[in-house]
Amino acid sequence: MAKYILKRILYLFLTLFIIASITFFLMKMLPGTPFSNQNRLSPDQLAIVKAQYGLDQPIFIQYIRYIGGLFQGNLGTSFQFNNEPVTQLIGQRLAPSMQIGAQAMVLGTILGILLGAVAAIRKNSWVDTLATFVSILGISIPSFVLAVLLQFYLAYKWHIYPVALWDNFQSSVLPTIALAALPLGNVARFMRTEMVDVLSSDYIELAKSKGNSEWQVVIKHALRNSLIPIVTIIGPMAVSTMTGSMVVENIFSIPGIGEQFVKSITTNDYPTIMGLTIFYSFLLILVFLVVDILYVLIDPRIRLGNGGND
Amino acid sequence: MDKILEVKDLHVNFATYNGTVQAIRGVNFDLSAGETLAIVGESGSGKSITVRSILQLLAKNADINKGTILYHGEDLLKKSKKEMDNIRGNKISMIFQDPMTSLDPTMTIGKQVAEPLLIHNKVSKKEALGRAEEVLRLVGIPNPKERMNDYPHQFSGGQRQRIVIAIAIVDYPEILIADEPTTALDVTVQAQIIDLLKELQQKIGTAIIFITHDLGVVAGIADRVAVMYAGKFVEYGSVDEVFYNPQHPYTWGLLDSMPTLDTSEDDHLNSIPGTPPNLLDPPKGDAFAPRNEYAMQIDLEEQPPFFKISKTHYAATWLLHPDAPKVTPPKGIQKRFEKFKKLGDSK
Repeated sequence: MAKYILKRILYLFLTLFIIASITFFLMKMLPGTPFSNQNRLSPDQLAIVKAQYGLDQPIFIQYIRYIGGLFQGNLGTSFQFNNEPVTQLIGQRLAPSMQIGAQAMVLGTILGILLGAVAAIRKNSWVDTLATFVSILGISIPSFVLAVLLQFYLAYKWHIYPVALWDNFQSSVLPTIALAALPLGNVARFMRTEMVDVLSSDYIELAKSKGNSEWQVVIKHALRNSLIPIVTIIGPMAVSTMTGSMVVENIFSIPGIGEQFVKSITTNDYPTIMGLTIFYSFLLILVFLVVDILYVLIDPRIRLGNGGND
Repeated sequence: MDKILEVKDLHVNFATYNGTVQAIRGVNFDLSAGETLAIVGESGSGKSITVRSILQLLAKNADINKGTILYHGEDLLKKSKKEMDNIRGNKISMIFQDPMTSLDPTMTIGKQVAEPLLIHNKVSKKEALGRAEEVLRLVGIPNPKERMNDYPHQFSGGQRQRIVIAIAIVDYPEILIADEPTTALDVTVQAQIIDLLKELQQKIGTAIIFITHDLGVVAGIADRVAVMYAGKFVEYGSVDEVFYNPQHPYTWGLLDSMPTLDTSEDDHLNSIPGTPPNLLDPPKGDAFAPRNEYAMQIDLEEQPPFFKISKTHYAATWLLHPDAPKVTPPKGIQKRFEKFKKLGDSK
């Protein structure tokens, strides 16, 4: 297993390299330049500025330079945002996004698992109908609509939470709920389907015949077996919760990373776009690795590496 | 002998979209301590439902709408959920048909075998696992100590059925219900499992209710046999009585469709024509009548009561009525009658 994980980490860097290369050339195809006041610059001034950022070189040279920097852990400096190094820029903005994303994932997944499980156990009852209703709402209402609704009622009208602020845990509650709706709905739906299947399987009947009560059967046998497909959807969802939070971050004025990504694209801030893309890719690949490890922990039939022979 | 289980007038219905299926229509039997009762019949005759009713492990749309199931004189159907949990896996346990799907794929077999002990007895985890290891050795799992930590997928089908049996017997049940425990296994493994069950029965003295559609298996393990058809017993008696002195035309059909050592290459195996009745709308008379070449007018109009053949042997067919005409059973059955006479003479 350790060997397998090491191999995967090696692939991780290889994948990142490829992604960095593709993004680099794609980005250069973006219309516009990094200079917002280009019209007012004389050709000479423009040449000086371009030379300063190395933009006067042929694209291929720029590429070599950038990749060279990457290997030294240097993501370059931002054109905007006070010429800050991109690593520092991401570092500062990462914490709020990660906090909200992680809180939303944990909340959504746990509630989704519970809701789905209860719906499956009480199949065709009012709980089941309620669960279906909640998960449809969670999936179909866009997070920003929910965010605005939460903001209006819980913050503006009833003053329970701050409207748009970023300081303590209190201020993270509303964005967390807004972002948790989608994972909650998805997980609940998958959990219900899988649990209904598992509950009708032979080993559950055997577990009942041992004298387990209905809830013991669920906790000891059904839950773990139902989690396998949940793990599959959690990976990509975790990433989309963290990247998809841009609009929600904007609504609640959270100094997060998503907001910055949008800004950097609209201003052709090449080093920041590159840095964030590489960072998101890294996150995604890492999540997939974690998902694969989770599989092994949950399902003993799955073995990593060697085509399942070890 | 002590009767530990008495099932009286059991009726089970299933609510379906098409209506109410009367799956069990009045089943009576009893079980004495330490004996083996086999229930045979074709698929859909209600064998599984009969025994699952005892443990109340029926689908949610099932309704045991009539009858009593007395276990040591107490009606199991009147027990609370919790009282039933205390009986399952402890006093009465069950072996399931398909060993490939009966074990929890994500739990080590040691834990799965130890589970009933932890549910029903105040034992430590260590004690329970120790006992599980002992029982795994008893059912013939090699190196049980090392294999305790393996998962079901690491065992063969035959071994998995041994593990399922280990789970069923780990708490020394008084009654063991075996629901077609050999059907999913190949023939050589079947024989091993039957031998194992017999051996375990002697060691722990449990009574067994053995369900099968394989008459060959019955002869090897049962003391008594009940033949079931369309939700009712049609004939029951000792193994010798049912095998060599069968009285119900359905039993004749079953026995005649089974090859014996006397069957030569030129003989052809008989089959019973037709299909079982639809229990959504069970026939008024004998359910077997439409498939029965010996059927009389009364078979279509009225259900036959049980006629007594001996103290232990009963069959529900109008052919046994004193006024019924004498019929000649199939050749294969006549041969069996001759054998039965010899058995009687030698006794």
